[in-house]
Formats: sequence, C-alpha cells, structure tokens
Amino acid sequence: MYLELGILALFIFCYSLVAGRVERTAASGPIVFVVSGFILGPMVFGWFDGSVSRDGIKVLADLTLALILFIDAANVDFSVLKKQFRLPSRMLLVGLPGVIILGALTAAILFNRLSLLEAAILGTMLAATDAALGKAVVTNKAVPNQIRESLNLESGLNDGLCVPILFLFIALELGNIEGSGTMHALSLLVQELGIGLVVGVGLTAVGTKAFKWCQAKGWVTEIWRQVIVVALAIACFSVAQSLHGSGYIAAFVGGLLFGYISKDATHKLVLASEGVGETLALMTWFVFGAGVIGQSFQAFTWEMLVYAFLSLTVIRMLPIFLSLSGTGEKTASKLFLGWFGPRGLASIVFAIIVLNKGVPNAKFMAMVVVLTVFSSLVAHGISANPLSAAIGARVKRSGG
Amino acid sequence: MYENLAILAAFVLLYSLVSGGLEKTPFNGAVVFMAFGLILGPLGLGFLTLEVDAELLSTLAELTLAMVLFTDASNANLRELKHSFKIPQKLLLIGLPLTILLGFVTGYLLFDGLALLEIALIATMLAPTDAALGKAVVTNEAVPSNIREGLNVESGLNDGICVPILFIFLALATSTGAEGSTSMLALKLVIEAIGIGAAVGVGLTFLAVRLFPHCAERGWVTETWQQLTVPALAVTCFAVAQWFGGSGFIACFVGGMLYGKLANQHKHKFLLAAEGTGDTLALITWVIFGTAVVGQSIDSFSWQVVVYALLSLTLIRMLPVFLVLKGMNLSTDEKLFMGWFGPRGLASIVFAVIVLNEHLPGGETISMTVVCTIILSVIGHGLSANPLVAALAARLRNPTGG
Repeated sequence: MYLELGILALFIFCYSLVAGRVERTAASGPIVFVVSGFILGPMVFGWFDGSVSRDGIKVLADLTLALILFIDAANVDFSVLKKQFRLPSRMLLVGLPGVIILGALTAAILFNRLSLLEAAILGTMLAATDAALGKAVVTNKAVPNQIRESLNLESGLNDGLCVPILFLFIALELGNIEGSGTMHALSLLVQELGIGLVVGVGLTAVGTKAFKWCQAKGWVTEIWRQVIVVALAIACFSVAQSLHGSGYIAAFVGGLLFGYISKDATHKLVLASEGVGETLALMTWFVFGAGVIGQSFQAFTWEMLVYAFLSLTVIRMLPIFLSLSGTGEKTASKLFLGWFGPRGLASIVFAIIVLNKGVPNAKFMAMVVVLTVFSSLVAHGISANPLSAAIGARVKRSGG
Repeated sequence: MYENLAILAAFVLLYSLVSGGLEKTPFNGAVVFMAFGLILGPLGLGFLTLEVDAELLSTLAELTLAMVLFTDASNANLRELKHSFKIPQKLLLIGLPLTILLGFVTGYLLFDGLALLEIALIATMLAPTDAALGKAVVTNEAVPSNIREGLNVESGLNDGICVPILFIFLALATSTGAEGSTSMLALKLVIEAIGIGAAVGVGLTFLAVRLFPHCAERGWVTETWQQLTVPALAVTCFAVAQWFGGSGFIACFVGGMLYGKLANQHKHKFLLAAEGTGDTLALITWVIFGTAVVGQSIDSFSWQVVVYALLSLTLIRMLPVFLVLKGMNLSTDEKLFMGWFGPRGLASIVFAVIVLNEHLPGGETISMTVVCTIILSVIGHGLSANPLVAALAARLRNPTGG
C-alpha cells in the first residue's frame, strides 16, 4: 500500500512542477496520466496494482465529476457568454442534440446487440466533451479568441446538459425491461432531476450568503477559506444523492449559481478546489490507465474501432458544422470547432453510472466508451498544437 | 454511503465558514469535531454510521499526522528559534524526557497488569502536545510572546521527537520474552527506520526545493498545480520512507524542518494548501474519533485509567516543565501556565493506532488510557484557555497582586 501511495504522490509532485510545460506539448495532462498508469500498472512494470475495487473507482469517479462539473460551471464567465453567445448556444442547443441523435443512429446500425434506447445511451455518453483534454487548444493564443471561448463554454456546459438526457434514456430502458411503464420511469426521472436542481440551488444560495456574512464578520481564516468550495461542491453532490436526487445536476447547477453570484471573486475562491479537482482527475486517469485500458484491449472489436473513429469525426463534426451554418464563420473554423470535442472524464463516469444502473449491455457500451476516449486522448493530443497553429495562420492570412 | 459523505461535507463547509469565529470561543476545533461525531454517531442521533475498519482509520490517521508534522515543522521558524531558543530548548531536551520518566513512574504505581515496556509506551504516547488544540493560547496577544513562541515551538517539535522513542519502546515490547540478541536486533531495526526516514526526508525535500525554482523560472508551473507541490511532497516523504522500511513520520518531520529552512521567504504561500489539507484531514480524524472511538470506550474506563489521565494532564507534565523553567526569569504563574497548556491530541491518537496494530497484551488498557487522556484534555484545555489567558494577562499587568 505504501508503494502505491508513494508512486502516486511522487507522480503528483513531479507533475505539479511541470504541469505548465506539459500543457504546451502534444501530450495533454490526461494522456500523461493514462500512459504512466499503464506503464506502472500490472501490464508493464506491475508496481501499481490496478485492482481497485469497483466501489473505490466509483467513489473516485463520482467525486471527480461532481467537483469538475461544479468548477467548470462556476468558471463560466457570464459576461463573455453574453457577448459570445452566438457560437456556443448554437453548438449546445442544435449541435449537441444532433450529436446524440447521429451517435445513436450509428450505434444502432453498427451494433446489432444494442436496443434503440441503449444506442441512444451510448450516443449520449459520448456527446459530452472534456475541457481538460482541450486545454492545449483553449489556452493557445494562436487560436482566435472567439473559437477558444466557444470551445471552453461548450465543454464546460455540455456534460451538465448530457446528464438529464442520459438519465432519461436509462430510465426509459430500465422501465422497458422491468415493465413498470414509461410513465413511472419518467416520474422518477423528473423527481431525480428536480431534487438535484433544488439541492444545488438551495445549498449554493445559502452557502454563498453564509460565506459573505461570515467573511464580513472576519470568521473565515486563510487556511479554511480554501476548503469552502470543495466542501460546497461535495455537499451539493452528496446531499442530492442521499435524497435520491441527481448529485451531478446539483453540482452543475450549484456551480453555475456560484459563478453567477461570486462573479470576479470566483477565480480566487475556486482555485484551491481546482487543485483538488485536478488531483482527483489525475488519479482517475491513472487508475484508468493501470486498471482498465490494459485489460480491455482483448475485448475491442473492429466495429467498436469504426464507431470510435466515427464518433470523433462524423458524429460530432457534421452536426456542429451544420449548427454553425449561417453564422458567417469560415469553413476552417467550423471544422476546427467540430474536431476539438475531446471525450474524457465525463464519458468515463457516465459509463460507470450505466454499469451501476444495471443496463443489460452496459459492459459492451463501456468498452466502446473506453476505446473512444482512448482514441480521443491520442488523436486530440497529437493534433492540438499543429492544428492550432494552422488555424491561427489561416485566420491571420484571410483576416489581414 | 452518500448520507455520511453529505453530513461530513456539510459539516466541513459549516466549519470552514466559522473557523475564525470559533477560535475566539472556548470551543477549539477538536472539541467541536469530537462532539459533532459523538452527537451524530450511533450513541447519539445515529445519523453518522461510519463503519471504519482499523486499516482505514490507521491510514487516515497516519496521513493526517504526516501532513501535520510536515507543516508544523516547516512553520517552526528556526531563525526566530535562535532568538528565544532557550525556553523551547529546555522544554524539549530536559522537560520532555522528564515527562516521559514521570509518566512511567506514575504508570508503574497505578497499573498492575502491564509490562514495564507497555507503561513506557503509555508515557511516551502521552508526552507530545498538539499545537492545534492550543491555538487559542498561542494566537492570543494577551499572552507574553516568549511564552507563546515557546509553547508553539515545543508542540511543533515534540511529536517528531517522540516518534523514535515510541518506536524503540515498541520494538522492545514486541520482542520481549526472547533473548537479548532480539532486543539488539529490534534496536538496530529502529535505528535503521529512523536513519532511512531522515535520509528520505532530507533527500526528497532537498531535491524538491532545488527543482521548484528551476521549474518556476521556466514558466513550467501553473497556478493550479503549484498548490499541490507541498502536499504531494509531504505524502511522498511519508510513503517512500515507509516503503523502504523507514519511519515516514521522521521523514515528514525532518523534511518539513528542512523545507521551512530552505524555502524561508515564500513558504507561507506554498504551505497554505498543505495546511488546508492537513486541517481537513484532522477534522475528519477527530469526527471519526468521536463517532467510532469515544462512544465505545466510555464504559470501559477503569478508575486507574481516569486517575492516570488526570495526573498526565497535571502533575506528569506540569512538574517537569516547572522545574525545567527555573532560572528562566519567568514568574511562577507563567511557569504553571506553560505547564498546563500541553494539550494532547492528534499525535497521541495516531500513536494509539500504531500501538494497537501491534496487538500487545496490554493494548486495551494502553489505548483506553490514551483515549481518556485525550478526551479530558480536549475538554479541559478548551474550556480553560480563555479564562486562564485573561487571568495571566491581568496578573502580569499588576505584578504586585501576584
């Protein structure tokens, strides 16, 4: 146990020193974590025992996603959103449903074993994009500002939007199987989302009010101030879950409200929780590399590979491209926005949720998700810098 | 599972909002956490049903102590220490061994069923003081600065010093009954553990302090990740030393001292996240202590245990401290004050967990004594902090009255 703790801590320590450097290379943080996990894991060196219990992974992934949903939502800059509303709103309101529908149709055609609803579940799991994986693009100054803001806003919000859709499909599928009726499933879903919404809004509103009050009284110490947002995010998540609501919705809505209320102070308050969130994400990716990737290789089929390829290309790029028609954006920009939708942590957590809900073909779908995420890690990681430079050059040439 | 998480997260949130306000009241953090755990636990309302297995509790307690040792040692201002070094020096070099000795003699008179080494263990486990519990005193401006600084440095360092002593007794206690050669072997192992721990702590920290500016200059460090360097360093020191068969606590303690010395000017900023992590871990440890340990042990306190606990907080610490401070130009009030404010806390809990894992014959009595002393200390020191500080300040203002 001390060996594993030591490796993980040493790895986090080393990464904390070079994080900024890594973000500028072709290798994004997550791919470094996955590869390290894989190399140190049972498949190669065997120093890191990947046999983390299902419960352990679930708790880790749950908390990671809850924190990331909260932080990403809190970091959404509403003033930028108002100014740059055009592109992200089209991508989220038109593009995202398109991605889900196209993903579901492709899955239904490619995989005979999946029911239509299961295909829809798979489509939804792979529709959410991961802001962390796209960091090289979002922080690259060569990319036009508008494109960066749009990608950032889109990936910050689409995982939260996918949660209710995913839960809807899961509820319908399980309702079908158990024969308890669609209405019953739907009412459960509405209840789950409603509780999540109420808890997220309620706790965050009370929490931020209390924070301002205590701050004014001088009750908040420098050390404990760092803990507030982490505790608030986890409280939103776990309170909603224990009341049988959706904790993800609570964390997402709570984060949105927190960012909206705190405005300019958000960055400083959220900083410490970003550190915790990134560390949790690192650990999740590490475990993914050590315990999941290696054992999954044999289960991959060529249909899965085709689907993963299509998911990263046509399934996302076509709807995004169409949703942006008439905005006056150049074809290159539209293709760029379509391509940079890396799949990551949200998709993995969704796969774990589906596994735990007992959807019949969950294992199969999880494999597809794993393969797509892995392909995305490699493809988006490698292409980030060259494509960023290319689009920057192109826009400059045509603009100037 | 989500219920427990929800309760804990909500409690952490609440505490983080009012932490500064609470520091001004007689209720220090530990008493709040412990009471919270006790009230919500199975003995009280039954909302919090933490099924903590021994392994989880010991991992948590170990990590907490590792983090706290590192940050405490880093914060011990060695430069200031040279100015007012005399008081803590005397407390640590003469007072601490005397406290252990007196604790041993008291234990010998009180406990019939325990082996000598087990009594020595109890005395060592209860010798280190907890800086967090004494915060109300250490941060109160009404207390003369040499007393505050003295108590602060003492409690920051004495847990680290007690670790090797504890290990020596523990190694001897587990090898009793065998020949003398096994004792020698045990001692050798302890020295090895201390040596490896110190080497790992010094090596890793030295490397880290060298690497960090190198990476920062090149702009390799991001704002988010830079917070994680020190917490990760502390855990690395601990885990690597443990893995090599050394003492992780020594590694953290030595590493922290070195870090505090080398990173002098900027350390406050970088330590902040580690302190936040340590404090949050400590909070969780105390809540679990309140839920899972306190409630179950209250019934099994024998009169010897309670008497020993009372003596440990008073005579066993106060007498050595009083004698040691002779000739330091302190009034009787001040000496008594310093003797009283040696609260026992986290270090003693972790020591108890370590000793329990060795399954000594007298393990039950040992842990009961430690638990009882900690409970009494949390309550006694918490409640007395503000009134006694006020009394001391009043006396110092008109010395003729005292």
